[in-house]
Amino acid sequence: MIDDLLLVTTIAGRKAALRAAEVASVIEIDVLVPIPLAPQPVAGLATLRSRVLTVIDARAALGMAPDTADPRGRHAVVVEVGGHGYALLVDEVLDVTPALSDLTPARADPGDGWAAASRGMVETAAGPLLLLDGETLALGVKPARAA
Amino acid sequence: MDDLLGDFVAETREMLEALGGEIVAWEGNPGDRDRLDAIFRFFHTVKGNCGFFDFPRLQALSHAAEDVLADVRAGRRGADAALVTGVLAVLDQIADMIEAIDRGEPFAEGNDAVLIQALQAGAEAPDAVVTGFNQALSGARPAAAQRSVRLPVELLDRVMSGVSDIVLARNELARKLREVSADVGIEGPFERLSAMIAEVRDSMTRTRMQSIDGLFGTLPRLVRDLSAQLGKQVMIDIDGGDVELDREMIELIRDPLIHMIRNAVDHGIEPPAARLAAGKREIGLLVISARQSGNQILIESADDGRGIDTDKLVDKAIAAGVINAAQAAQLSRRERALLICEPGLSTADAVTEVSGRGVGMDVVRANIERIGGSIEIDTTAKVGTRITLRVPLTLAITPALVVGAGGQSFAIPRSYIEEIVDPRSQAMGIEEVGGGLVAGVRDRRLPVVILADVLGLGNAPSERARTLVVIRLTGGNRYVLAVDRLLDHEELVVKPVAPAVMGTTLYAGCTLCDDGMPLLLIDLTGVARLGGVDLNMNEATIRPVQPVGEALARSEPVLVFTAWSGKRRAVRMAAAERVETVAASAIHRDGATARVVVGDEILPLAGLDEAEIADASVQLLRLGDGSAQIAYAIRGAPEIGTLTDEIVLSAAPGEIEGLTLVDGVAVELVDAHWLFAHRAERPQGAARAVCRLPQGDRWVDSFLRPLVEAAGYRVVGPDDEASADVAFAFEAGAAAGAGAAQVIRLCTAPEEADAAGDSIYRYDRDRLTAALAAARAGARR
Repeated sequence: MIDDLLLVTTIAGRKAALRAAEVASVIEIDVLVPIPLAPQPVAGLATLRSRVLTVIDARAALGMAPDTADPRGRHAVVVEVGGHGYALLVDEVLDVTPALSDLTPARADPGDGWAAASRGMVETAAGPLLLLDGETLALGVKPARAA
Repeated sequence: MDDLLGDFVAETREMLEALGGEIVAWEGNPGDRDRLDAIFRFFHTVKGNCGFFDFPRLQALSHAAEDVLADVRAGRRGADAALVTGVLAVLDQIADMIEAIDRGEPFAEGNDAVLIQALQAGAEAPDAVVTGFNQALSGARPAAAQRSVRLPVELLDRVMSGVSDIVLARNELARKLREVSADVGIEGPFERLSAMIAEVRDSMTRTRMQSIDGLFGTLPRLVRDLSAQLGKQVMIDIDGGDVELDREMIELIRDPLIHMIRNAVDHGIEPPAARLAAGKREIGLLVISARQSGNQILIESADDGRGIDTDKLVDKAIAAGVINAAQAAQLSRRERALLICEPGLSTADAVTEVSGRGVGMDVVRANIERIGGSIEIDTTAKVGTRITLRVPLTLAITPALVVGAGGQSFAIPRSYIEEIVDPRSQAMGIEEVGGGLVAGVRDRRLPVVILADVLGLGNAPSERARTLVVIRLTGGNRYVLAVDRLLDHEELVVKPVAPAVMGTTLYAGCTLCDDGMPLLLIDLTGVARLGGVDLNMNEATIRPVQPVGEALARSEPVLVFTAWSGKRRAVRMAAAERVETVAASAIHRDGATARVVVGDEILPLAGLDEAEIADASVQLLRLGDGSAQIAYAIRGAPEIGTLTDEIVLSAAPGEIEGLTLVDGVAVELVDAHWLFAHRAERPQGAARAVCRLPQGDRWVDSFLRPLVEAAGYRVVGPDDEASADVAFAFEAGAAAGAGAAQVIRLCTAPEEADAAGDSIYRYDRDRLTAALAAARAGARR
C-alpha cells in the first residue's frame, strides 16, 4: 500500500481517496443525459470521447441525500467495473498523492454508507484519509445481487 | 522462404473455405461448368505451388484430382456421387496437410494411394474415404475458421473506438468551422477529410461485423457429409446469409448451430424408406435461416422430420428426477419440448456416432444463454421440429428511429415498428376505455402507451404525443407507442447499459449519436409492461411469423430529399427529371407563389414554403409530367430510396400525399399529381396553343396579350402562317378572328355582354380566362 498513488477527492464536503490504479481517468462532465426511472445513485449518461459512461452520484451511492447541484462542469472519476465505465460524480478532485502508510481499519464509524464503501484509513501528506472502493461506489453500497 | 510458405498456406486455406459449398453445389448440378472450373483451378494451383515447395504427397493428390476433373471437363467422365466423394476426400486430406504444414509438423500417416484409387473410374468408395469424413465430422479438423489474418478482437475494438473518437472530433471541428464562416481554403480539404473518415469508419465497422454467410457457407458440406454417413437424403435450404452480426458472435453460435443440424439430420429426418412410408418426400428438407428482429438475431433450423416425441421426453424427465409428475402435467407444449435441453435427456434410443450421447441440446442451451440468448423449440410429431435461437446483437448495427419524448431523445429499434401514424389523420381515433387509452388503427384496437408518461417525464401539452408508432413485439403483441416527435433515423451501434440501468427493464442499451450525445435505446417490451399493456392478451393470435413488408409487394423507387422546412420528403422517381442548382437571385417570389428562372425557362417553384433563402444558391429538383414542369426547392443532394411501406394518407389533399417510411425513415411523400394540378403552368413550346392577335393595338398589347400568354398561349400576328387555335373579335359581328379554330368575342361595355356567353366584357377576367382555357382544351383534343 505504501507508495501507491491516491486520488484525493471531496464528497459531500468530506475528503476521501481512491486508489489511482483503480481510476481510468478524470473527466469534466459536459453533458449529462438523464435516464428516466433509473435507480438512485445513477445520475445519467455522459461520454468519455466515444464511450458512454454511467454517471453515479457519489453522495447517493454512499447513502446520503442525492446531489442536487448542476453537474455540468464538475469533475467525475472514471472507474471500470464489469466491462462498464462509470463516472463517479464528486464535489471536487483535489490532488494525487502517494500513500504514506498501509491501510488501517477506520477508527470511528464514518456513518451513512461510508463504512460499507471504505477499505480503511490511509496516511498521506495531507493527513489521514478514508480510502473508498471505486467498485462499491459504482454499484452502490447495496449492489443488487440479482442484476 | 517462410514468408512464401505462409502465403501458400493462407492462400490454400482461403480457397478451401470458398470451395466447401461449391463442390456440393456442383454435385447437385454436374453441368455447372463454372463451379467445375473453380474446383479444377484449385487443384491446379495447389499442384503448381507444392511442386515449388517440394511436397510430393500433396502434389500427387492434387495431380490425381486435377486429372479426374480434367476428364470431367473434357466430357470423358460424368460427375457421379463416387467421384464427388473421392474429390471431397482428397480435399480433406489436402486441408489436413496444409494445417500440418502450418504447424510445422510432419504429415500424418495417410493412405494417399487409396484416395487416389478411389478417384478412378468405377472405383467403390473405400472405407478410408469414409474414415476421412468421420474425422472431419467429429471436429478433428482444426482451425475450421480459416482466415488469412488473425487479429485479436480487442485490437479491432480499440481501433474501432479510435475511429469513433475521430468522427466525434470531426463533428466538433465541423461545428467550429461553421461558426468562423468557413474560409474557402479550408472547406475543400475538410470535406475530403470527412469523406475519408467516413470511409475508414465504414470499413472498420465491416471488419467487426461479418455476414453470417461465412458460417452458413459451410453447412451444405456438413449436411451432405452427415446424410451420406447416415444413409439419408437431406436437402438444405439456406436463407438470410446476408444478415450481419458480430464476428465474435458468429464464433459463439457456430457450435450450437452445428449441434442442432447434427440432431436434425440424425434424429429428426427419417431414412428415405421411412419417409416414403409416412407419405413424405424421400428427400428431407432442412431450412436454416437467419434474420434480424429488433436487437436480436433469430437463427432458425427447421426440419420436416419426425419431430420430438415429447411424451417420451416427459417420461424420461420424470424418471431422471428433473421434474415430478405434477409439474409435468402443467407444462405447456413448448415447455415440454424444451425438456430436451435438460442435461442427460435424449429421446434417441440408439447412441450414434453423430449425436445422441445425451450431450448436445443442454450444451447448446447453456452456450446460447451464456451470451444472453434464448432457445425456443416448436415440434410436432411426424411433421417436424423448428428450433429458434435468439441471440442479442449487442454489437450489431441496429437501425433505429430516434424520437423525442418529454424533451429528451430516445431510440426505438426499427424492426419492431410496424407503422407510424399521425393521430390527426383519419386512419385512427383514440378513445379512453376504462382509464386506459385505446387507439383504433384500421380495424384493430390497440392499447396506447405514452412514452413520456411511462418514463415520468413532463412535457408541454402542445408537444404531447403527436406521433403514434405501432409496435409489434416478438410474439405478436401489438401496441401503440405515443411519442412527441420523430427526429431522425440512425444506424446505431448499441452497447449494453450498466446493470443498474438494465434492471429498470426499460432500456435495451445505449449508444452515441453522431453529435456525441448519449442516447438510450428503449426496451419496447419493458415499456409496454410498465405502461400496463397486457402482453398475454394477443397470445392466441400468434401466427406464423411473416416479416412485415414482404406481404406488401409494393416497391416503388422514390427520390428522398430534405425539404426547406427541414423535413424529409420524397417524390416518386417517375415524376423527377433532374437536379439543378440555381443562384438564389433566380428565384422570384410573389406572395405565396414563387417562380424560378432556369436558363431561358421560367418554372413554377414549389417546396420553398415560407422559408427565407440565406444561401447563395439553391438546389432544385425538376419535376415533369411529360408536358409541364415544376421546380421543387430542396436542400442538399437527394437520394434514391424505395417505397415499400404503407402510405398513411394526409387528412386533406394537398402538397403532401401522406407519411410513409422509406428505408426506415419517416418521410412525407410529395403528391406530384396535386402539385401539377395546382401549380403547373401551361405547357411550353410546340405543345402550346396559338392565339392570333392584332398588332399595334395598345389595349391588346398591354392588357389582353399578358392574359393570353398567362393562359399558356403562343401569340402570333395577323399575318403569321401558323394556324391559330383562338382569335378575338372585338366588335359585334366583326370577322377579325379569321383563320382561327375558335373565336372569342369581346365587348367594351359590361351591358353588351349577353348572358349566353357569346360575348365577354373585356375586363371580365374570370370569364375571359375560362374561355381561353376552354378554347385551349378544345385545341388539345
